[in-house]
Amino acid sequence: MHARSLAQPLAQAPERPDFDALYESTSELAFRVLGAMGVRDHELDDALQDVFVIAHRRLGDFRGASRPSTWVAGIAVRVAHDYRRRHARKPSEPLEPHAPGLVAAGNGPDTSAMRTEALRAVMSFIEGLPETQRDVFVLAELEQQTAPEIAQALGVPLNTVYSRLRLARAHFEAWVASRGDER
Amino acid sequence: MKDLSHDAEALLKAARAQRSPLDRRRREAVKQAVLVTVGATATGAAAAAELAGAAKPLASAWFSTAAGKVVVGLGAALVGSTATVGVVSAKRALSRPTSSTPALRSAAAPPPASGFSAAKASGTATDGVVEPGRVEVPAAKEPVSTPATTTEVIVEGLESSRAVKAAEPSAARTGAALPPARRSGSASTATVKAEGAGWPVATTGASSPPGSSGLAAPGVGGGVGQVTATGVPLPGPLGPATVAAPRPPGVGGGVGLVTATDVLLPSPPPGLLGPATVAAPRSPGREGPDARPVTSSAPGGPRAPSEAVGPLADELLVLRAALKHHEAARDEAALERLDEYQRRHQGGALQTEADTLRVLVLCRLGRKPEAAEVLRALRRSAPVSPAAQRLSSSCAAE
Repeated sequence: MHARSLAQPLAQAPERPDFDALYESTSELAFRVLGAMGVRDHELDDALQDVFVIAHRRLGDFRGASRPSTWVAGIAVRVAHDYRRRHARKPSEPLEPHAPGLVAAGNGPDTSAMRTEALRAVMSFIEGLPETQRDVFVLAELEQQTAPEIAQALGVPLNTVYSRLRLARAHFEAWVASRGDER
Repeated sequence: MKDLSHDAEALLKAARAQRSPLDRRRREAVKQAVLVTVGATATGAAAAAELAGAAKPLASAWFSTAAGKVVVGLGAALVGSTATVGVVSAKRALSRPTSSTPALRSAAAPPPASGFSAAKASGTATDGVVEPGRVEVPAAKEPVSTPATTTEVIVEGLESSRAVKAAEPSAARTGAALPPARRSGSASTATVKAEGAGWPVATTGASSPPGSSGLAAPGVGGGVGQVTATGVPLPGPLGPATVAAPRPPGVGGGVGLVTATDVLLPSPPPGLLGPATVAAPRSPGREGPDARPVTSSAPGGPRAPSEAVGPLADELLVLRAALKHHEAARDEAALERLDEYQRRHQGGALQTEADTLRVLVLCRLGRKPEAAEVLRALRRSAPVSPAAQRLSSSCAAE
């Protein structure tokens, strides 16, 4: 994400969507956020269901102050937190980058293998981040949301988003550099 | 903000490209599960309201177990000093994950009327003691073939001290008065057993007149009550689950918590499972109806509430800790817990209660402008809540 996109203003808030439209437009995003936040593949459907049961129940409270996708992303982050706490991954337990819900099919074997390795590496890095930095890093760097959107989604001040993202990026840069050194 | 290095960007780009989309079948299956859960929850709430004699449902909620979704509806009514809460739950057999098929743990169809078990409990308060009066368990509207089941209902409140246990499930079933039992220190447990033959199970009722149970924080005027239900576990392990709902207006704007563990999981009627579901594997030794215990409570007895920490239970625990600090005049500590609540559960089911308590804590700490700001936000988000009205006499409203 570039500084320009981080600083760009939020788009005009749309009107409240109906549930069908909301689901259609944001289920993909929620699914990705849940996966990136460490919800296990076999729990992704359940977690996604939880996200949208919550969204359905709270749709009447959605005032359009943020984009629907931002709102849903915030719910997905909180649901992911719940799943992670409920089913804390053991340190020895491998990630599931090979799981069908996480890795896209297609591409040539070389490209696919390279990307799968990249995804595994990034997921491994994300897994090691503190929760607050993980939230911001996933939304910013994987979902490419803007900082104001992230602030709205997480309900934290904008400066907090910048601060956490700065730290997470610094960790990521150092981690990428260390990978290069190892090779 | 400084851009990432080329290597870092390239790595992220590759990772982004490799994430799989949510395929259409999976997307639609989850959507159906969402809609069914929402619909069944509303149905359960309406039934519970009818059971409790309330004009409309107070709240509805759903919760999930390790094996699937349990739909719970809550209805409440307040008559004189007696608060009655009706809880109706419905449950569907649910899928377990397999190696290749992402399984949905969902209610696959709206529960039929015969699919409910229902219980109603009412009680009165004397000197801050919850004394359950009777429990009624209506028979299922249509006979069903599943074996009789026993559900044990535990009502816990931190401040009340009487425990009541039904001697015979049949007494509970017929609405007979329950005998008072033992006192149990500062925390109370009221246990009743309700026997029913309904298809799904796990029905509970609890009552808590104003200030009679839970965390009745001064000024908050209500607090937290908790119901823990344990039932006969079949077929296979079920995890803890929680559901929370606000109390009715007039009771004090507190929160009741229902925690259910090991609720019965009967085999579903044919045709009720959606296409994305698969049969749940059964634990060895629990195969078939013959293995079902009929009158015993859950193995190992009721679980401690702390074992059943779902998201809502966790909210409750944090809020409860904050309340205890506030009651002990440790308001700095209370504020820390409330900050913790915000970090972990912002926008959660107990947000109104957390905000209400925050106002009181800030007032006591002399931080009137901040208290006023919280109150203004509370009034914007919940203008007619009892909590917001009650805070009109706080420092924040001056």
